[in-house]
Amino acid sequence: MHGELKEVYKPMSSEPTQVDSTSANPSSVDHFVQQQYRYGFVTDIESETVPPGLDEDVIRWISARKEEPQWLLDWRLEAYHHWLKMSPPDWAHLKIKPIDFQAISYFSAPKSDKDRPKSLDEVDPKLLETYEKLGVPLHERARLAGVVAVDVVFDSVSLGTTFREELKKAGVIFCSFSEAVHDYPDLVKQYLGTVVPSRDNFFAALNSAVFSDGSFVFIPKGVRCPMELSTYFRINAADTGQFERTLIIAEERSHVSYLEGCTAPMRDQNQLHAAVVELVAMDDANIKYSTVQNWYPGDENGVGGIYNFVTKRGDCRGDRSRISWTQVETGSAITWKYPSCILRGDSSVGEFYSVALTNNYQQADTGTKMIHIGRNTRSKIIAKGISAGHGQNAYRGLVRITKNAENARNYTQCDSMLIGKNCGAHTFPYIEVSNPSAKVEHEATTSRIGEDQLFYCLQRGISEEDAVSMIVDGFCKQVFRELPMEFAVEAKALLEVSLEGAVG
Amino acid sequence: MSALAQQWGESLRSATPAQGPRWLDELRLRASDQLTAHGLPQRKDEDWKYTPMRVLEKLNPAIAYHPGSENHFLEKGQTTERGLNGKWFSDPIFPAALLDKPDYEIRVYDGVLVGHEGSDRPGVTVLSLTEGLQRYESLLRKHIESVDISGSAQAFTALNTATLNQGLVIHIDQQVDAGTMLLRWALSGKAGPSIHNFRVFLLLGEGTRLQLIEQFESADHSGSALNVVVHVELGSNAVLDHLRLQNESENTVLMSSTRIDQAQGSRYLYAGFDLGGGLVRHELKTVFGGSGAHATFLGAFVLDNARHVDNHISVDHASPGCSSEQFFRGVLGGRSRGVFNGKALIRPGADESSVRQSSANLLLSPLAQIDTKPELEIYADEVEARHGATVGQLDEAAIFYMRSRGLGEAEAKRLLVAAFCRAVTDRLENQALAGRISQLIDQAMPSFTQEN
Repeated sequence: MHGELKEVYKPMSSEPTQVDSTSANPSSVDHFVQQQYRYGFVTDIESETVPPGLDEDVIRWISARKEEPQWLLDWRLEAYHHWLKMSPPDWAHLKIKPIDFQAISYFSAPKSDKDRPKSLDEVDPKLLETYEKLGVPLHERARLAGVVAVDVVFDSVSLGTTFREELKKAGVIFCSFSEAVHDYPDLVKQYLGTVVPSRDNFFAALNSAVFSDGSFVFIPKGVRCPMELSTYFRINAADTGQFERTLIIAEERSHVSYLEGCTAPMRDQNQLHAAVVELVAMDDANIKYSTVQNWYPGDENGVGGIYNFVTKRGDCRGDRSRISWTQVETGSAITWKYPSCILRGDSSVGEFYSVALTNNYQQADTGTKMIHIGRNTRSKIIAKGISAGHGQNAYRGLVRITKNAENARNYTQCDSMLIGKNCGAHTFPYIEVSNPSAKVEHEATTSRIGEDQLFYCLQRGISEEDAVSMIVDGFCKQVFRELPMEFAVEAKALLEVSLEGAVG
Repeated sequence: MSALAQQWGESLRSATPAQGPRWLDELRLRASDQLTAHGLPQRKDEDWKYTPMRVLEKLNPAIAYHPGSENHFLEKGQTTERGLNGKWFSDPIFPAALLDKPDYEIRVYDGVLVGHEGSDRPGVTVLSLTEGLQRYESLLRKHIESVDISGSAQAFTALNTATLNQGLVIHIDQQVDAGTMLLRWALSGKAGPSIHNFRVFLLLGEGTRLQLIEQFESADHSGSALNVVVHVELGSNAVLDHLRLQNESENTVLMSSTRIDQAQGSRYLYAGFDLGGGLVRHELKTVFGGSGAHATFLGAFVLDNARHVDNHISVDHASPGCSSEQFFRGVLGGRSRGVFNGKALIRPGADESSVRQSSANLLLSPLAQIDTKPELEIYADEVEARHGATVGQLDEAAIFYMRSRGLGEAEAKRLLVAAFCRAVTDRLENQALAGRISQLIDQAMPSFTQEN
């Protein structure tokens, strides 16, 4: 049952942010293009892993191991039986080799799980070391004036939650999904699968059957969450799919900002990641969900990398509710992700801000859906795609104004930037309007990185690397400014690391 | 599979096979098999997502077969009861004066060529399909075999190929200016609702020029269906100015599929106006086979009642240095539904390409619907591509302004809709023609500009 211990740490070839500012010679920056994945290593911790394959027994085993109630097991099994009848979606602009779902192990937990640490101090130091390597030192974050609480997901089991006491005082529940199942079963039962039903799509059904853990957030009426909530995900054990499930409920007049970020170790075999995120916003509630996704993208030849199939959906159930998605997608070999908003409540607002970057052989098909149902609903979509190397980047978005959505308003802007001869940028917007009072605007542009801008910068002694990074930063500014401050800094750095050397 | 598809399948199996070259007989059989196996387009076919087959299924047309004796084109100028002066065509929409005297007028009635008239121009050949196959077999074969007939999404090209028997071939020799041709289409429901299939070949040699005006308008409104496949070949530097005006009755189903192959430096200028029809779909696909080619697709649809018009445009930038533009304006009232799907593909290496797409729509009734999807697929970096799509209403402030100056509400709305469509008509070269089209647009919008 125990996973083998592996050590595939690959040292970095160079310091990635170091820039030769004295020369804009393309050859001098070649090493940036070829640089190794910065976060590639596997932490040496024993894992408990089920053998590869999926059948009813595996689901029963996962459920039993997590000591789940019968209703949840039934729910999983129903999803599984439906999943068996489904086939993977093929409409996305992605080239994916068929995935052998029987070759994947569906559960992996750090062994020390049995002896769950009570606080971060008790967390296995090796884990903390892992986060240090990730460049996300927890204690530093914790020290940030107690602003951020971190629920660490290491492989599939939540390890520790900081600031829980403080949150508790405010009445906020922020815990792992497994804990929520035990401690707040009624809440989980009431909301689970109400935004993303277990039969919603192939990957959501798979997740519903085998989800391992994730985060659960409940903000009671009238509460403004005293700090930004954050979860760092990390895939660790080899050949282990990760199936997080996150559920955030914001009751009337509550506010919450949730941060999700991820990096993954270097590995040659593709790993599957199929998460589900459900958001529920009641009257006047406000949910802000920010993601920086930096899973392992595969090497420069397109070998390896994470397959990231995510179903994220927010339900603006209440009047004047607001859900805002912000994402910076720089990692994964395959990204298939459409964070959506169902604008059910009158005067509810949905927002989507996205930067998606594909380099080398990465492929992304990402965008959003804004379904306007209530009256006076508004939505805004700002999507920026950057393609470099052989990367393929597609924006796919749906804006649907249903019959009763009086005075609905949508504004969509999606811009694509091409860096290099072999990449691709694609735009597939779907606009469906059935109400005559709707105002929908969509605009999109695709062009290469501005040569005049580059020239201007070079002429003033700015290196090509810095110039590209400045231009890209400007291109993405509309999205970055929606991110919480420390995330914005990280996102900017990530983009620089992912892109440097792409021009030349 | 739908009852209609099954009915067509049985009809195709029991039909007397048409006689033609062996390759064509075999192709007809293959197409027939495809249609029988896959049936009509379905909602799951991405390209037909917004265009259901309900209206066609309700019309329930039988496949019309035209006996071989009618294959031959009538002698030039010869008229029959159904011909040039026949009662099945309404009065010409475009008086000759507006057309700078059309050099040819060609009429197709119920899927059969019934007459043509016009001055002889050296280098311009107008033939029936049967004659064309004798004269240009290899050229026509190349085009006929290039048509995709596979799967349910291609049901109508498959049907057209399976029954391929009636058609028109226009061939223009190098460097010839062929002037203006008027191609008029009409349908009747005299033998019960039928679906008529017809094929058009426009083969323009190097440096040629042609203005083609297509007019779809039946005097008889009893309801029928027409399924047209058009092949356009533009030699280098050839120019085709292609205007299509559709003002059919609400009982009419029209499916058109046009494939344009453009050589270096050629220009294809399309302007489509849809003011009528029950279920109408235009598929236009152009492929740039040489550099410096250009294509413009202009379109306006003004729809009322339960009309459904679907424009599917696809531009394949397979060569560098080409430019394309799609510019559509839609006005929807009643229970009508408009669909715009514009695609532009820029292939690897097609640098210096430029693409513009614009789809703006006015939704004027609570039951009307618009689905618009401007797509870009880009694999080269030295390109400039942009698209915009909007859905909105008439500007209340503008209506108020006009009303405060004594105009009635209906008149104010009419003016605004007319101005909205002028964005398309203003771009036509022939302004007299544009004026006439503007009048027709005005007539096409009765109910949704009424006072409320």
